[in-house]
Amino acid sequence: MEILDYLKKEIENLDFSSQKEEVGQVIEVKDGTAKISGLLDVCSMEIIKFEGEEETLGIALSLEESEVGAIILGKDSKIKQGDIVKRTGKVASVPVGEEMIGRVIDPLGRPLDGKGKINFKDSGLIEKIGPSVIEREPVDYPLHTGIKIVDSLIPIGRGQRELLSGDRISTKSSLAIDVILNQKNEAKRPVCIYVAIGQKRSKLARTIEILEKNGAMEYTIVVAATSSDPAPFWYLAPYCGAAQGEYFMNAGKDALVIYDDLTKHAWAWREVALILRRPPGREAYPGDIFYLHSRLLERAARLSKEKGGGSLTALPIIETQGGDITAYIPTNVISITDGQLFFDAGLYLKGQRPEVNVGLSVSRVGSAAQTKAMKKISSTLKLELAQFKELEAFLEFAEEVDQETKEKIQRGQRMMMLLRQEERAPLPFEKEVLVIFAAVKGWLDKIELSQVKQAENDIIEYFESIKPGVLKEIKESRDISTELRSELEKGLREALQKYEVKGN
Amino acid sequence: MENEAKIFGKALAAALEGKEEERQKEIVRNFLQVAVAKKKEHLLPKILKEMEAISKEKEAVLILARDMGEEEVEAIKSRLKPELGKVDKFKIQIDKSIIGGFKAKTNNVLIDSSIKTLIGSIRKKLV
Repeated sequence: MEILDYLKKEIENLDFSSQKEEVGQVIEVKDGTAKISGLLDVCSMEIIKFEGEEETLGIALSLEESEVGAIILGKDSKIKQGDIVKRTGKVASVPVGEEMIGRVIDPLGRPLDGKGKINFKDSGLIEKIGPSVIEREPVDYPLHTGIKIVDSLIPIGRGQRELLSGDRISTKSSLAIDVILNQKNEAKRPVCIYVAIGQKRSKLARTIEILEKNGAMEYTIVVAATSSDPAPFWYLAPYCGAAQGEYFMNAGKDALVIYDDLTKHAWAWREVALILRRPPGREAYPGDIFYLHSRLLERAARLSKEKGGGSLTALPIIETQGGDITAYIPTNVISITDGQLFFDAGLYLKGQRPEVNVGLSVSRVGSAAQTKAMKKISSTLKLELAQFKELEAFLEFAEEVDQETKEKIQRGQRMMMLLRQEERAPLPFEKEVLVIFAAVKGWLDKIELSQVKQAENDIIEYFESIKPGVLKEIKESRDISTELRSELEKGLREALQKYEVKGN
Repeated sequence: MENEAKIFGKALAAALEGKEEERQKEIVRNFLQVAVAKKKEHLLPKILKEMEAISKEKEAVLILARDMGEEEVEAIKSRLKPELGKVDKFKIQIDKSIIGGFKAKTNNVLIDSSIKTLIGSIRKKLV
């Protein structure tokens, strides 16, 4: 009986009046896009509905004199010529919020992980202009990546945009995932958003598995447009990721978004633009290819206190061809971001991992956000590495140079060795400070090059088990006080005792 | 010069509007002479297309489930006209699949008052 009553009520509430709707008709459909006649009052970026065999959504992109060009968000095989297209009056948006954390979604916010429906409360605009000048504040809080070479030499701050660029073989994505893993135990843990654009599903599955295994999914959202998804999905994915991050930024929290990678995003936009018959420019990219990325990356920001003080850090990834960072898309994105990490294939082949080329990598704002502890040691590190680079050419004649040069080369080699880091092994900030302190103060100078890594582990192990207080103090004070310095030196002496004996 | 064809088309359509048939023929003849004199004969196919588009704007398709009496159709038409703006001509189509009621469609607007859509919306509510 209850069901009957319910039905009766529902039917009574039905609206029987006829509706006037603004519609258009499909003229042609090709490769994920459609040309539509009618729809005279449609807005740019408005969601439209194709009423064919199946209801499919689309977004109106090109508003021309008598036609509308739209991208189709779904299967275009279900849409026929002459099908009716309706306006929805809604500008493209995606579900956002706490409920999305831990989920894998497509660029429209629909779950892909089989964990059921997402009961979202809020939605965010896919296309949105970033915060204004007044709403922003300079970057002043570090985003620890857990990668020694990055945190010491090319530091990244929260709200910064730092490009990761390098060849196909380089470990850009892998480093980006390590950055996510490292946030697990960070103070003020940021919500991480990983946007996969045009990746193989097998690779994506592996990435998600790594995140799950390391317990990183509990603070991560994955937005995925895989290789088999049509180009419009690739095009939308980064904007969806930015919308997810903006939600947390506007709520006064920190967020980190990784766009992996924007080269494919540019390809997707080129494909869509060419099919929509927009005039091609250099390398057949449309005229707005710069704006495509600049409006996306401008959404990353550190908000002022009045705005809640949240931040959105962006790490876009760009794939270069043959190490050429002067190509069209890399230079575009370099000029938009606040610095770049350049992954050098040559270093990779020499076995240096991560193969970040310190000379070509910069961080324009991050050093302002570096902690005092790291600042104190990294300036020495930078100087000594630069000297080492100059002397590296003499490496082969190391026996014939004077003592001072020899020592510099030896220290440089040990530092380079120390800066090597395995994948999936991000180092917490306090441990980074510890081992780099050891290197710049010369504690590793007398250790055989092949034993540097072992010594590093010994140092960490010693402090973890015998002097955890020292690590804790570095973590909390974020500084190295004079007392702490003597504690550190005492500890290092003991930790490295066995090597001293073997050495000189 | 796509725009040129459009301007010609619009001018001709405006000139022809509301004129008697004899007068219309005369206007078209004059128009052709002007076009030839200005060496714009090559635009004629485009002008024709433009004229077709203009006449289409004024035409609406009225879809009915079955053939209704003249009176009923007229009543629907007169009720629809203010809603549809410029429209002054209705093309009547019979489509049994809409079951009952009517649908009126122009290039940009759809007024849907069919039983089929109504049943569809009930279905959506219940499923």
